[in-house]
Amino acid sequence: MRLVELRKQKGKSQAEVAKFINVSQVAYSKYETGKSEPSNDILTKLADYFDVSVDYLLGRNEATIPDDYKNLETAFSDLRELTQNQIDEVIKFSKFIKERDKKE
Amino acid sequence: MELNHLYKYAKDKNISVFVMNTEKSFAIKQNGYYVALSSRIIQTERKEKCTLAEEIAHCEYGVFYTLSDALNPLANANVRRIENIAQDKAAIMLVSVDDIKKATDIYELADDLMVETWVIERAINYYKRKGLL
Repeated sequence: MRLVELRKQKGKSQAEVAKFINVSQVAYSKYETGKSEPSNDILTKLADYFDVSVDYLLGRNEATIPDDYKNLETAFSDLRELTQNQIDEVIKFSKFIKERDKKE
Repeated sequence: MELNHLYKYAKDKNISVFVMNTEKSFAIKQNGYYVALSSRIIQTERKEKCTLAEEIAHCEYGVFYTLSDALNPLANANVRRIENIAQDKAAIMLVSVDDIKKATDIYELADDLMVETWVIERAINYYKRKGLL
């Protein structure tokens, strides 16, 4: 689960997140270390708190990148939850630039 | 820097900017530097300015990550480092030390400069680290 990364990115302590989702810090700490699994209700609260989907929280990102484009140098203005469609848009743009450069 | 100056700045740095009907704004490095601004996102001048500045910063300082790394950014310290560099550089492109010194309130300053508040906060932190504030 991406809890540690999300919490640090938001600059919050375990106690702060625990308080928000109404669990003890000990309980929350176990979610982070994987010693305990949160209920669906808690997962939803955590996803809302960090403004991500439950899938993202659980580390699921099904997007794939063709081998030719894995090393394409990119930078997004918003890195949250890249979807397959967004990846495809970058690849399409890369192809558009290549075609444009060929014609010039 | 005003929005039209940002576009000119990009042009002067040989960074090609396109406004596209994409879900996100992004930049790529591919025999040159190319920025795609999402027309769906840059619906206010403020948003357009901040997004463009950030993408220009990625290009100007050559700080990119691979598309693979972008899929799991939070787990990648290099991606976080790159994002921090670009956001700092974008912030100081838009907000000067004098702007901050003359300001009484970050929200007012953000309104005056037509930027988002994260830009002001970033600029303040940057200038403080450099001992300029």
